Amino acid sequence: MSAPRPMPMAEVPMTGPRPFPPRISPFTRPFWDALDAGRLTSTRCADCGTIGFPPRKLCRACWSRAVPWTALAPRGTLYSFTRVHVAPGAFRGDTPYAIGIVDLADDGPRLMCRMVGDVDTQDLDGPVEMVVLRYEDGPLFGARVARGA
Amino acid sequence: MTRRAAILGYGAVPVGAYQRVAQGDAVLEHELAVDVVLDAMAMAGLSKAELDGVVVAHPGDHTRQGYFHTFLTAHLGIRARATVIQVLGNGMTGGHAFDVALHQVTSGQADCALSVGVHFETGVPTARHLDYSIRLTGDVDFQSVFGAVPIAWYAMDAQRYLHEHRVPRATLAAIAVKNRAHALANPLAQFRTPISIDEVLAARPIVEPLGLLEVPGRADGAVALVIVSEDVARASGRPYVLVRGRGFEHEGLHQLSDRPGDALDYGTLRAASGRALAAAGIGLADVGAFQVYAPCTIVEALGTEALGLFARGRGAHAAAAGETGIGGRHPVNTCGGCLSRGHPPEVTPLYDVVEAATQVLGRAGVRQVARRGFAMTVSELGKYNAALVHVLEGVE
Repeated sequence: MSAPRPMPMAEVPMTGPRPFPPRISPFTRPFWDALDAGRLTSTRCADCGTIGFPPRKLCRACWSRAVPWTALAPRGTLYSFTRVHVAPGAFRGDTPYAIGIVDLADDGPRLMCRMVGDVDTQDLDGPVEMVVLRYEDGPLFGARVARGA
Repeated sequence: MTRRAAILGYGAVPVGAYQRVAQGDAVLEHELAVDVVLDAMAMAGLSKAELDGVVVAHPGDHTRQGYFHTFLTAHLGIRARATVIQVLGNGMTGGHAFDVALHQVTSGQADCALSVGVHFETGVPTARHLDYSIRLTGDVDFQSVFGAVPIAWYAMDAQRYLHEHRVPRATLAAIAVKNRAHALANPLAQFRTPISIDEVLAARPIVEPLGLLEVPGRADGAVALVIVSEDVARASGRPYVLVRGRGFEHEGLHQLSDRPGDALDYGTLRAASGRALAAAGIGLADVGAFQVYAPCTIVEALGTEALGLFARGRGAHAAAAGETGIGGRHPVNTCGGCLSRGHPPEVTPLYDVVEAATQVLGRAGVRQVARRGFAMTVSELGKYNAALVHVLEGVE
């Protein structure tokens, strides 16, 4: 069973390397490789159907080890956000920067990520699209408010 | 073997900057500990030979002395037959230091245990401190990578709360003003000058929508508690604080659920406080003072709602209406709370025990609440991913 493959996510060029890069393990490499190719993925339990995020080697709900990769909808709604003005040293060059909580469409999971572009309180509960943040050393995922589509 | 435990002595230094002073003049972590331990033991009227165990709140990342628990035990010349241990639990660290000492006594392993903690951070620049702390409150590979500082999580609760419940911005800010008013008369408080709603709203933004006066300042602190069996407390002939109930809950989440839903319901607090009240055999209405771990204004609003003091979406309104003030229906954070008493995270819950003990013993002066029979202390970790609650009663 496979869902229709979504269009690749839009890319947003970012300056410099990722401030606090993720570690990549043999298990998480498929996530980062897919992201590099413009697709947001995670693990979905083959036994009970629960989608987890971040991807995990087990299903948190039923402890099944059968958790194949699945595509996530690259769009959702904005649950909340904040703009960080006092930052860790690693992120000092980015201030102020916004992070948000996004509920992905099609019964997808909730995640937290960097918000790019304008975001304000009137955008809460409104649509966002997921994007690939293209840093010099690799990708991160992000979201931006979907305007006037 | 199960028996009851009591607080027979406590000592604390005013919350402030002990580490950030001119080079060569900074006090050392164990030196600060000496002062609070001797004060607590003097209040208890006990000698060091009567101590069976030492439980130390892990001092975090910014003290130099490692294995502080055994170092401090040696520095104090204590020979312990029950335990010497250092405990860690994020913002709950001090709560665990209290809880584990209680367990030493209720289990019968100790008749008298010291619970002590020192937190230092003011000697470390904020940006460097945050480089460390983003690793504590998120998944380091999937969340910390975006620069989510610990209070950013609370800020996102605040943003959602204002939106979902249509709470005016100034109403939330009133919690900071209320807590500052409480701190004015607290000799242990870090911030003791009055503030207004306008000043809170005009403060520079830190994590929107929260500004400087709605988030905790950088702080150091030190606290010691002397925990004894009820028999030892009674035999002392001194006033003491009986621990009547204890409750805990961890929701099995780290900061954020990956299932869309209500992130503003601090359900762990409801569960833990329910257990603590049931163990104490009392109801919420019997509690005259609440010490609620709340590093930001929003956390106090949501905490009071989770406790059941106010309806969902009404916590900030209740505070703005004076209901959580010292003369109000449900006094909350009579010491000034994290925002004004101050927030040295690893020992904040120990300061909260000191305030609760002060209240139930009737020693809070102008901060004294009217109904002083019972007080409740609350500590948490993550974003109330876990809550630890104790119910205290004064005995004279």
